[in-house]
Order: sequence, then C-alpha cells, then structure tokens
Amino acid sequence: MKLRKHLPLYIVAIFWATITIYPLIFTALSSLKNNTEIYTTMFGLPEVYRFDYYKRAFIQGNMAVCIRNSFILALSSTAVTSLLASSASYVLTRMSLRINKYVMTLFTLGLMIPIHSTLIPLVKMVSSFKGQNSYLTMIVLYTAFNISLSLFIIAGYMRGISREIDEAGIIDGCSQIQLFWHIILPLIKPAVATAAILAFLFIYNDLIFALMFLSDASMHTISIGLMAFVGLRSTELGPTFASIILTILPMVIVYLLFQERVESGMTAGATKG
Amino acid sequence: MANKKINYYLTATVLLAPAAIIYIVFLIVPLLQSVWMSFFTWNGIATSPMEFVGLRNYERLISDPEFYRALINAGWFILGSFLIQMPIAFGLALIISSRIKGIRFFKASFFMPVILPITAVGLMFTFILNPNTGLLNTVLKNMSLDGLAQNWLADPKIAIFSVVMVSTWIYAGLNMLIFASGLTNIPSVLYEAAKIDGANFRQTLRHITIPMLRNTFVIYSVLAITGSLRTFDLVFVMTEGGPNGATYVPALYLYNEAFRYNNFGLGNATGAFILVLGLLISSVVNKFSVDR
Repeated sequence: MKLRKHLPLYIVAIFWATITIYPLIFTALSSLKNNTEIYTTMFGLPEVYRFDYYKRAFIQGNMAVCIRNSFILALSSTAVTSLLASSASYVLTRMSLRINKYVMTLFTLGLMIPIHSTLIPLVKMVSSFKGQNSYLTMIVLYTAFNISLSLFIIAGYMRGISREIDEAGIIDGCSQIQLFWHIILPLIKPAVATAAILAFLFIYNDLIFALMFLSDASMHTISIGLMAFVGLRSTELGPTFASIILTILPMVIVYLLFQERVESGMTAGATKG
Repeated sequence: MANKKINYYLTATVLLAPAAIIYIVFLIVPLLQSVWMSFFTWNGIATSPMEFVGLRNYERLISDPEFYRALINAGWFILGSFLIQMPIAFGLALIISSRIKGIRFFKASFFMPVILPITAVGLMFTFILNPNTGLLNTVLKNMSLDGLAQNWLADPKIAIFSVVMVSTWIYAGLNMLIFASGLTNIPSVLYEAAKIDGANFRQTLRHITIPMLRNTFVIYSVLAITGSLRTFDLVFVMTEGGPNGATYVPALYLYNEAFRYNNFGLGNATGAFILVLGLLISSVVNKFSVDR
C-alpha cells in the first residue's frame, strides 16, 4: 500500500538522480578509456584502466599547478574573509555606533550587485598598480566580493546570542577585543563554518576574476587551466576527461563531508542574494 | 571616562575598518566608477584620456541588434527558469520532503551539480552534447530516437536552449532546497485539517501547499530573473556566445565589447544597464510577497 502510494515519487527520484549523477560517472569512466573505447563502448567499463591519463592531466595539463593555486587562493581568501566578516559583525551587532545601520545597509547592497558591473573599473585599477598575476590581488578581490554574504550569515547568527553574555564578560573586566576573541568567536563557530564553506566554494569555482587577472600559466586556477587544456584540442579525450574529474573531485569531497552545512548555507545565501 | 569612550571607538574602528575598507575600495568604488564611466568613451589604455559623451553609449547600446539578441537570450533563461526549472525544482522539493526511503542519497545527488565548478560542468557537457561522438545523441540513437538527435551547440536555432537545459541541470538542486525550506514552514495542522475534510493530493497541493508558498515563489522569481540577467560562466565556457552570436547574453556582451573590442564606454553602459534592470525587477517582484 505504502510502496504503491510512493511509487511515482520513487520513479521521478530515480530518474532525476540518474540525470544528475550519470554524466559524472560517464566522465569518470571515459577518463580511463582511449578514444576508440569511448566511441565504441560508451556505456561499458574500460578494458584497461588507463590511470596514466591522470598523470598527463597533472603534468601536461598543468592541473597540479592549477589545483594548488585554486586551493591556496580559496583557503587564504576564505580565512581573510571569515576573520574580517566576524570582527565587522561583532561591531555591527554588539557595539552601539550611530553609523552601524548605514554600514549594514551598505554591506547588504553587496548581495545584489552583479560582479560584471564592476569589472571594467577593477581591471583599470588592478593594471594601474600592475597587480595582475599576484596572489595578494586575488585574495583582496575575493574578500571584497565574498564579505557581504559571510557578514550576512555571521551577523544573523550573532544577533541570536544573548546579550547577558557580554554583560557578564564586561563585569569580569573583559575588553571589547577580549570579549570578541575569547567569548563571542567560539560561540559563533557554526555560522563562521557555514560562511567559510560557501566562500571556499565560490572562490574555488571562480572563473571571471581568474580570467581577468591571471594570465601566467604558473598562476592559473582550475577554471582557466581547464579551459586552456581543452583549448589545445588534444586528439585524445581521456586526459581531458581526467582533468575535469580532478577539478570536480575536491568539491564532491567538500560537499560529502559538510553536506548539511553546504545545503543550509547555499539556501540562506541564495534567498538573501 | 573620556578615555574609555575613545578606547571604545578605537576598538570598533580596528574591528570594522579592514572589512569596510576592502569592501568599499574594491567593490563599491568600482561599481560607482562603472556607472560614472558609462558616460564617457575610453579605449582601455590607461594613459589615454576618457572623453565625455553624455548618453551616447546608452544610445549605441539600445540600437545594437547584438544587445537585443543578448537580452532576448536572457529572456530565454528567465522563461526556462519558470517553465522548466520551477516545476522540476518544486517536484524535487516534494520528493525530498516526503517519507520515501533513501532521502539522503536522493537529496545529495539532486544537489551535487550546484557545487561543481561551472567550467568543469560546461566542458563536460560540450562533450556530452557533441553531435557525432557525444553521450546524448548516442543514447537517443540506442533508443531508436534518431529523429531527436541534434547538433545541440552548433545549430543556432537550438544552441541557446541547450545551454538553458544545462543551466537547469545545475541549478534545479539549489532551487529544490529553496522550495523545500518553504514546505517545512507550512504548519502541519493545515494538512491534517485537509485530510479530515477528505481532500486528495491534488486538492491539497492546489489549495494549501501552493498558496502557502507564495513568498517562496517570490524569492524564486527574484533569483531566477537576477540570475538569468547575470549568466556568464556557462555560456562563456560552452559556446562563447556562438554559433554566430546565437547564445549571446548581456554579461558576455559586456565582456566582448570591453575586453575584445576595447569599447569600454559601451561595456560600462551594459554593466549599469544590468545593475539597474536587476534592481528594478527585484523590487517590483518583491511587491508580490506578503507580510514584508
């Protein structure tokens, strides 16, 4: 009875799960096949597992460098963004400044601004101090463009923490900095984690800033590295599929490790964006 | 006492200023500059002067057929979001809010595309949609549906729809969660009352679920429209606007005018146009929400 009632749901669920997951499995299998196998046994397992395609993606495809750069940029920008967003949230939600309301509105505005509308002046600015191909430029830009969302998530959570904690801290002789660092920061860890995972995802997946500001092959990130490798139009598809899998894999792992946080963060981020 | 107050403001500055300065200098200022520069022409060379031209960039923009094509394609993205993606996302939300087995697995597989790098997904689909050797046409041929096999990305008549479908593949999972979080906010008493009154699934859906999700639909609409106006990565990776401009979108128009043809004034006018149009539509759509 119950199964019969739910049968249509199962059918639709299995259908869409196939549509989302099968292309990834297909790409993973194709990354181990040579061209003939891809064309003739498209749905089958590879006859020989050609793992050296991965080696070629890493070395010829520059993927080792690209993945390293993407991780360096995503991790460091996420750290900077999280720290700055947390400290700013502390001022905006727990200290009484007359300008707080306006500053908050200004930060919220950032959720609505299309990145492309700022692109031309940014390029002009960065080239005026020859800031292309530099980690520092990228970290600063990624921070500027992710801080609104991080601040929004962290400040929202911080508002829910009782003010009595602050009063108790002040009576015990805490300075504002100590209160922030030793008392509030440990309490807002869940929000910081959510904001950090989101920032990490956006930065790791970024295309446009990398496209505009990173032209040296030694500075390439996964997005432009992948495009450059495919652009070579190598006759063999295996290494190309391998490089796609290599860039996808870290995100799949991050997602499976932090499933709940990624989902709730993306929903919160999207509905306010 | 005064010392204490100075200390308080000093602390506030130390904690707030780094975030505010980076944000204002690298996001707000460029945004304002972009609007300002849209009234000038500039060839992109730092030393060459900008020339004030008033509204001429905007005149050129709205008389350019390429820009119209870009807007129409953004319109296809919007239409696709409402006619294709919304029913799918809503259906998936009903599935993951139901009590079937394996919810965790289904939810994860529906959501997975959202977090993957768009570049990787776009390239993956250019191979899948390849007319001769791609997965999709091979599947269709194996099912003896040869008639449906297409030159997905190279036929100017259907290329934009192929990209819209890939965009649906990516974002349906995210919108599923938005609808699902709306569904959990509907009080279960309403469903119990409907059950007592003998309402069937369709009646419950029509008279309880959908009306109660009004604000969720408004949020979805804002997201769908602003997201469609901003589309860039997927088109850039899959077709670069081709074949022959058939998949041009506004952000790509901006990119090409500025960084390919050095028409920075026109590029900035496009940027300002996307910004204003997005804000305008969001504020209009938001009027439809209740209790705000």
